[in-house]
Amino acid sequence: MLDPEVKGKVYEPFSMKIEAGKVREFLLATGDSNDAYREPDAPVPPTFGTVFRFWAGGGLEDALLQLGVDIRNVLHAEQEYEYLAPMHVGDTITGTTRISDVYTRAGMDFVEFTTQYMNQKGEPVLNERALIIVRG
Amino acid sequence: MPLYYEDVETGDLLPEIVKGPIEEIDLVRYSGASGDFNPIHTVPRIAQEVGLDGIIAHGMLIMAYAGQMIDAWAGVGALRRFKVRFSGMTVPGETVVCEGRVTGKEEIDGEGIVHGRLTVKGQADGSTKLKGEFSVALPRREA
Repeated sequence: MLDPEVKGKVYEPFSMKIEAGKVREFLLATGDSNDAYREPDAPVPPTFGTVFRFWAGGGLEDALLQLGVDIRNVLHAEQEYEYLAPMHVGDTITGTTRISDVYTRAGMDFVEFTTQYMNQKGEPVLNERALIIVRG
Repeated sequence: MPLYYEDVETGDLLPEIVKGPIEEIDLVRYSGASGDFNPIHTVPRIAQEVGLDGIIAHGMLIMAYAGQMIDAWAGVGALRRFKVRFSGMTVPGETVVCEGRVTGKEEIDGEGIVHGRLTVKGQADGSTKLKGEFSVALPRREA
């Protein structure tokens, strides 16, 4: 069982500059053929936020290790994004994650990570909520 | 031609999209692109060690597919909110179908906001992979 005291824990902020090659790689890997994403001023696709989490400073694996949880034993239960402003190639995005909830149900631990992302101008661009199940 | 707020009605269906078959190599590529190298998505031995039958697709890859359906219908950049609940695992070899429906529309601060629900299912067995809800902002005809 996870220590309920971890609720409220705030992680070190992480930052990442959005590179054109990374966006192209993401579009190819998801089979996204929408031409609008090939335009020069296109925003990033809706689930690109996952790239910030995993490529900028440890991501979920490190966040879970800090709780004593092995990432191989987790499943993703829910994911939510709130889009506040578009993000483009060249923007530097900084995310700050906190543990917004911890609870046990049906013998499994649930951990909710909430992350607020800002661009280089300090404008909020994206809110993210990820609910993770820790399997037995 | 853009989709206008005035042209959308509750109950409208989004054009469905079909993705797959999802192959092992797709999960390798998505691991690299996303940075999610959890080995349960790419290494059968480790997936089995933690009690799975084999490797499973990243839930976020399936969410990305659902997002492509919304983008194709509402236009890139229209999304304001996108929430999914992962309800079933997707394994290599499966093809998935994304379906969506408009559940309501309202003006918020002068913006035309359309709400909807979506489901991604396995094409072969109809099993639910995820269910979600979304809100998009659409352009106005009179604007």
